[in-house]
Amino acid sequence: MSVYLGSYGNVYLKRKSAQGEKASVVNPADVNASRKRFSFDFESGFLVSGDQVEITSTNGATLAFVTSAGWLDATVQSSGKWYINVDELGGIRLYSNFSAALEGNVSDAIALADIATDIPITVKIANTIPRMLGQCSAFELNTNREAVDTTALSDEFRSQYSTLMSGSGQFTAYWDYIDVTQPGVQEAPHYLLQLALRTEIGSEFSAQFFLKASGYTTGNDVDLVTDQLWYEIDGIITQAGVSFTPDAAVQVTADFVTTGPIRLKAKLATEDRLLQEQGFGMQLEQDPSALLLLDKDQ
Amino acid sequence: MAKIYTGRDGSLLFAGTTQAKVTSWSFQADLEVLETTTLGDSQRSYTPGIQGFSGSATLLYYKADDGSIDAGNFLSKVINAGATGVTTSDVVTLTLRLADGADENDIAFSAYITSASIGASVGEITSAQVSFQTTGSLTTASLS
Repeated sequence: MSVYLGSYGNVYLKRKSAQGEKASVVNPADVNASRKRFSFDFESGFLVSGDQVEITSTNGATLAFVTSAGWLDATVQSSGKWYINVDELGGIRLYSNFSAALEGNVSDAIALADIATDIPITVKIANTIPRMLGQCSAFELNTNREAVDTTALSDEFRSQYSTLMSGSGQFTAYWDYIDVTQPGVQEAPHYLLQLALRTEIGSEFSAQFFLKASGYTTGNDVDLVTDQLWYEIDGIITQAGVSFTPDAAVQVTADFVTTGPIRLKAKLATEDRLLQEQGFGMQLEQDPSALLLLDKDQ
Repeated sequence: MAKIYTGRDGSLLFAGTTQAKVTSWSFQADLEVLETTTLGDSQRSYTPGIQGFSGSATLLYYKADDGSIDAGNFLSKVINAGATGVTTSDVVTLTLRLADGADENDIAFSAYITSASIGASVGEITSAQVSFQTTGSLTTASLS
């Protein structure tokens, strides 16, 4: 047994939206091709710089305001995913990667084209990559199992029946709004404040709370170095705050409650190794040259 | 020996069989009184009329190892698909018991189940609330 220090725990966040997609219309006047920006009607806070969004036209038309440079196969289609930067006027620029979207340079934005007719669209947050919450100084995750009293007449001891599971917790991180040293690698703590204000699509996120991260062990057993144990949850920010005092670093604190299942996962085996309960080899029905395909990590 | 009775000492028997998951029962005795006050009297006077008894119980909707539903005996008397409704054959024999070891203080009677309700709520145990109205005299009343 060992004693672990909190210095090797970390939090990974994945952006998502709880309430699905938003419908709107891109008008010809909304597209400014020379400045590589466009817009549509959405509430302030609906989209945050760094979001990966999926834009789909609802009438089957192609998204003609995105030039062929914005598509992997250089063919304009009716649905696509990009990272976005939202400027102070609500204008949107599209980017091909997260770090460029956070920086928001016009030169890195995907070129746009003027359109002649309205294009009805739906937009939804479609992030798939979790990113470590930068400068996180503490986190707390509590799980709570409700119990209902089932004591009956004649019983001498109380009996309880377990019912619903819930969770809650808190992040604390030193506030910053952009990571200039490793742009795009970590999620800036400022995102927690933005997340709390997302009234239109909800303040939902996915998170992984690592109890033990890879690359660390307290003992001499090097086999444990790659082990990882973490909680995986979907959560909703219920409260976010930032405090400024002259004699202390600015910290962001965000409280959350979980929604849906809480999973405690472990990755204890060597990567890319298929485990089986038996000690003998795995027989394949196919001919000797057949291959067993593994869905392995990168 | 002196004793204070609590829920630990209580039980409910349906046709002589103790129901496993009863969380409460209550029993009420009523007496109608007929006024016999006459002109010239200074105080009202009464004579006893008809007695009646009713009560209620709450049971967990509980399936035992043998597959039987603890509250099912009660529920089936008023929640059933029969076209004839409730008949005299639906009279049940109930015993409300407060026991001190082998010393059993019982109220036993025949009754009709007059209401039954059941529901399901998120995060709560499903229970059934039943009310009953006795018919005839009590068969046992050994509370004293």
